[in-house]
Amino acid sequence: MKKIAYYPGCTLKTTGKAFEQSAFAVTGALGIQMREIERWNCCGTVFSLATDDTMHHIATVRNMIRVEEMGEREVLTLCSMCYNTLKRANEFIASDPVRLSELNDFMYKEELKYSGKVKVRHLLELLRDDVGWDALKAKVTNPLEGVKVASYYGCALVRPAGAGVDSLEDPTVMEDLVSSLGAEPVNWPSRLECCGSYHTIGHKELIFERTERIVGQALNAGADAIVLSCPLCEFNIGARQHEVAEHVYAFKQIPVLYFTQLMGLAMGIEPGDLGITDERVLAWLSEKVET
Amino acid sequence: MKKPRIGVFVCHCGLNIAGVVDVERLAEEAKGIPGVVFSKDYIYMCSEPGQEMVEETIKEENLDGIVVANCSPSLHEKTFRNLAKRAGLNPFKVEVANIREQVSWPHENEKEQATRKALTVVRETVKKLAGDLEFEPFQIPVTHSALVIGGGVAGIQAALDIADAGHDVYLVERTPTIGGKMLQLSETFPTLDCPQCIMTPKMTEAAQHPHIHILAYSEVEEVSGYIGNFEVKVRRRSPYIDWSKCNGCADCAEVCPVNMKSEWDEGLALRKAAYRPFEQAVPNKFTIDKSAEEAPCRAACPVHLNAHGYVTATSAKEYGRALSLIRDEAAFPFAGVAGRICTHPCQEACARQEVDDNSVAVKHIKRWLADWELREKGTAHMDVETSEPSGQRVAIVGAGPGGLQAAVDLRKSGHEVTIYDAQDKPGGMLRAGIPAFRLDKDVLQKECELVFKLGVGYKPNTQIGMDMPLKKLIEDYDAVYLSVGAYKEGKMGIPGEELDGVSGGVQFLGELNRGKTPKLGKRVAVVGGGNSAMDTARSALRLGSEVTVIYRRTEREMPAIADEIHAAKEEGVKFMLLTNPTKFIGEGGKLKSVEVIHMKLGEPDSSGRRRPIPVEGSEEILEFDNVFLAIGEKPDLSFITEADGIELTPWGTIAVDEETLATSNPKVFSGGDCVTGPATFIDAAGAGRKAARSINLMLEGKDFTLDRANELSRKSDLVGDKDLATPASLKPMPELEVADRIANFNEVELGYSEEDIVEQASRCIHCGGCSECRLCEAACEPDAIAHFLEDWTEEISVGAIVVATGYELMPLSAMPEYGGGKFKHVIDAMQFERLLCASGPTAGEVRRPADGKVPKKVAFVHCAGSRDPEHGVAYCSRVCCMYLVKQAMLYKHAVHDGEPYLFYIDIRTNGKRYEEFYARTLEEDHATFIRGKVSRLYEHDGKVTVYSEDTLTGQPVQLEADLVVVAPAMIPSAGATELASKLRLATDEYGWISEAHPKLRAIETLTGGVFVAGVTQFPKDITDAVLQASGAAGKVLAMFSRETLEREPLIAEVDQDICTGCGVCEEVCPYDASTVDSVKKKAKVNEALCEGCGACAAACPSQAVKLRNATRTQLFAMIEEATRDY
Repeated sequence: MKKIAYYPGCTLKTTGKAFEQSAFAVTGALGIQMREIERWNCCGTVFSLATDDTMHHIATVRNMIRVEEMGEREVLTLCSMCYNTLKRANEFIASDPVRLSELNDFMYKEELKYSGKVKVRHLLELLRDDVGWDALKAKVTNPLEGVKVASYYGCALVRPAGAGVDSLEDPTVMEDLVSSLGAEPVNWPSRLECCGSYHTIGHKELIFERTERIVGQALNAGADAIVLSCPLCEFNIGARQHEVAEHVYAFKQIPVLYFTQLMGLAMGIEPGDLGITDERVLAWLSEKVET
Repeated sequence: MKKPRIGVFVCHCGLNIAGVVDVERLAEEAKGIPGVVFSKDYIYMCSEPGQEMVEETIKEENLDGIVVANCSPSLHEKTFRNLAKRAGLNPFKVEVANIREQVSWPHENEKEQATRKALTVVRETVKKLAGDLEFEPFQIPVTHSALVIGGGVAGIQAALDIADAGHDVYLVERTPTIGGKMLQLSETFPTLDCPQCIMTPKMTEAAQHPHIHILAYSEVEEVSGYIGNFEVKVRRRSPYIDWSKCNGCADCAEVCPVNMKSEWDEGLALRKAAYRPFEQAVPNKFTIDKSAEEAPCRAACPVHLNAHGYVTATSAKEYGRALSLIRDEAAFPFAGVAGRICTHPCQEACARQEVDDNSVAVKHIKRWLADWELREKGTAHMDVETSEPSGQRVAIVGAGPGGLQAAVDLRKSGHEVTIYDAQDKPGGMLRAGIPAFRLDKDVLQKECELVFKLGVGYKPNTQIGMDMPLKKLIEDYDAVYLSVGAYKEGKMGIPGEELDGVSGGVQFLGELNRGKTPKLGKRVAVVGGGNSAMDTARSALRLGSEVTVIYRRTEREMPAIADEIHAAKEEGVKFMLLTNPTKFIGEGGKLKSVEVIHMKLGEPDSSGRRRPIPVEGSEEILEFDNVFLAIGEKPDLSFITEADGIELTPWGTIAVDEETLATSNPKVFSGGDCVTGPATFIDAAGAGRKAARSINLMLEGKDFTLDRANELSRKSDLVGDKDLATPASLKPMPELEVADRIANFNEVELGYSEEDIVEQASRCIHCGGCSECRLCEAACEPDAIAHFLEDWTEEISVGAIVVATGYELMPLSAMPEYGGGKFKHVIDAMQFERLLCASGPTAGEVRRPADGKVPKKVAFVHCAGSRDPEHGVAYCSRVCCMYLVKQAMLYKHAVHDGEPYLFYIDIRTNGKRYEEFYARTLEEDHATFIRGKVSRLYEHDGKVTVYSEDTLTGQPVQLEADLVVVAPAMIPSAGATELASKLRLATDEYGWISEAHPKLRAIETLTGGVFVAGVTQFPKDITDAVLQASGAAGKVLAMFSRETLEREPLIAEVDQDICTGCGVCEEVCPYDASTVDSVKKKAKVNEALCEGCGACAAACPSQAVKLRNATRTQLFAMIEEATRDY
């Protein structure tokens, strides 16, 4: 069984619990053991763009030290935002020995100095590069034939160039995953658009507008569901849908799933074990996907 | 020693220098520098009054050297050296102190320090000047002919201008025609001239010009020499047509069955592999487009048949030609046999599989051709010319496919060949081991006879070892080829194998094939999973038994070909998988039952297949009347004795060298199943062919071991163009109904109809370009086709070179946000030019390439890749604004109710009448201009959604367009960088050729005698390209107006007393000017080649090389002066 250090991040322990639960379920079935790193802290949430701002990357480095304390050289992330912040901050620090030693000096109380050698990976990368689509196909017991799925990348998973899991402008990793599960990926225009991100706190109406547009385009393209890999995106274009319905006339809703949940369904795992509790989604499942 | 008299002249350069440096103070303080007798400042030293002042001062003050403190020496050093000459001062006693680029510009805000630095720079330059010696330039001769590289509008213009002055011009063009990109355009802005009208006359003029030599379809391979004296090697690519005979009649293209994408129509139309880019091409000659590599099918064939060729000829219904490629040209008799039972490595390699999962049915096509011949002509033919008798004799043992193929090839080479075979009829395992329902024995017999018709001797019923010792053959003949096959049946080594009813599958098949009908019981088991097992099972079934195949692994691991397994199942053969016999149980010496054990699969073994492991306690007893073992055969090599000197392997096969098939006896070669163990028909034939080559080379007294790897079968990397695939899918082979099969031994596969086989042949996507079906040869009246013409090299001597290699467009695949080339209704601007063009694929009607519909809304995307560092191109491509404006106008003229939308960042109309043209498109043609970069395209339901913004209103914009035209960035032509390095030219970070000075010497390059014209220097429109071309011609003509040229004398010198001949200078010299005399062991500098860069002087470990007027002493004096205050 392959073991890998796992960094959850705060959302996966709060609003995104279902993501973590379903990820554990599917990786377990694929023979991958995700070992949660100890005493992890917030990823830093947003990558600081100032080139002289070493201080704001301390959260990432501290997490990397935790990974090295486990004797690991790789760390797996699920949340797109954590992936983006950890990966970019890690490369920013590790690429410059001066910055790295500054931070190590600052954190002199840590027992270990960070080597700069940890690799930050996203579960989608792991599935594509280490597991492989053919091996995944072999684990599919309940191919999702006839189910049309819109893959939603959002912004953090593929941007900027060099930090993303796939091509910046034309990624295919989620569509390939969807095909491997027997479902049909749909061609739709909003897959790389922003969900509105943290405006969800101060400008809800902006999120409503985004969600209406993104959900509407997915439905127009004939999708039965949207899959994504970011808890914040899920919150905005998934959980907020019923609020949008209150504000937008004739707004149609669509089930939104984490890609791990869709995988679990295709691999014959019970919806309850994938954290699928939303009644709308369950109703949809009983109609579309026989488990 | 005379005291130096040095003058210092400080230039203000307007405020460029004087705005920062206190020039008056500088001039004043310079007077205090030792050796300086005069110093003065002036506002523009390079102006006429400035120059006159300097000239006068030199004379009046009797100066013996001057320092000019001004701009970079690359700008005005020459100016002041010329001036010095006029004033009677040696020009090399002039030095420039650069106080602009190196002082005033970088120190704008530090005026005091700048002035001090300026003084230091002047001081150190005075030091350098003190060490300068006087030199005289030397003279070199000039060859009065020019090379122009690139046959676009710039190249043609330069060539015409030079030739009009009476000098010879060699115009080298990479494609088969001159004309370049301009000729592809619909109309040109702002006059709407049609390029065909204004360009083709120029092309004709060039073609007919007595002084222009067009070298089309050629590339510059090597350039040596120097200004005035270049030696150029031009690689003339073979057009596979003798252009001296070609009359441009197009007969070859008419018969050519190979379709390829037309470059001229930017892939929107097809052309043939034998083609002329367009009707008005210059030269008006045809070219055959061949890939350097062979198509994968052809490369993979173990006997090297031209599969691509005969498939292509079949698609053109030229069946005789197709068959001739197999039989006559490849000297392969077995078209009908291979068409039935070959394991077709060609199809495994076929690129068509990538299109719709099925390869081209090469095997079936070959069978159809052989059947067609038998049907039409009654018998098989093979027309192989045999060489003059060599007087050498070769014996072949075994008349199987390997022996027969070797016989054909050796006979073809003129040797006397005799085949010895133990059987009464030829064919070997083809006859004995393959049942008639798979291979019609009549077909086999006819094709074997083709071999004997060549005059090959045949001694049937002669078993070597019994009827005649091998030793005698070796003694009597000059060479012997052993291809005796593998007939000895494998045993399982379990109890009961001796029982009556237990026998070998191959033996059974052999009896059947000899016309016997062995009596079988009701229940028959066949042990094994290979082709022999399937053949045995299917044969036993036809004798009325119930047949079960017992195999120890799963179907996935079975070595038999899938079609055979499928057919066996269809016919009712049962399969007992993961099972293996452990004991044969008899009663009265006769088989009664079989004990088997069930297996499971473990880890993969050395063959890569998963190893079967017995499951304990799973034994079972099954009732069978007959069991056939088909578990692999071994060669019977009892005829080889130790005295023959032929080594065997530990596995009981003949040991050979894999590449030559030579055995340890120098006269004996061997191949096929007796070397490899049971393998395929085509492998045996391939081995025969390989051995024949070895034997022939040996008999000719040549070394047969050289370069033999992959000579017959190899891998080709060609992948073909999937867009060229016809929609036809693979039709299943018509077969006898199962009920009609199992009672007889009639052939199961019936063969295709003519219509189907042509359709199958048309599925080929022609990975290799020309298939060498050579239908064109027969069609060509002047007999110009030259398929075996090779590239050749032409050497020319020229005095000057003009580089005009142009540009290409950034491919759409580099822009995933615009669909990356995958969207059907997104095209690039050059493709749209073709759609607008009267000579284009739609004859000027604007129709979408994908479906032929007239687009009513067209979005034009400006700056696709240009002005976009993310795409690696920070520059503006300069012509896109204007041509998109033109395209919008022409689109409006073609589709009156069409709506053009132009998404731009800025509209740049910097040319004569360009702005007016833009205004016309805007005002009269009502094109809609939206100021905003397109962020993304999304194709759906036959439309493309354009996402952008309108930066003038600040609103996001979304447009549903029928067609999107993208204007990609212009980038240097492929290979431009390699050419630049051959010419020792510098390029910028994008690959455009660097000019000597961006403003004042934009035609010259840094290499003397090489000029640049057109887009190859930087994107520009036709007007500017032509201007630059004429400019380059002017520069060339100025050179040619003289018999000799002056060369700068400031070059490297070698002190012969110190030089050790180590050769470091030779290594570092970028101009090949430094060479070490192999006899004297001393370095020498070629004065004409040396550019005075100083690389050798810096590298020389013994300090023997010095650069004139930049010696170590001078440089150290300068450094000392510069660091004096620190």
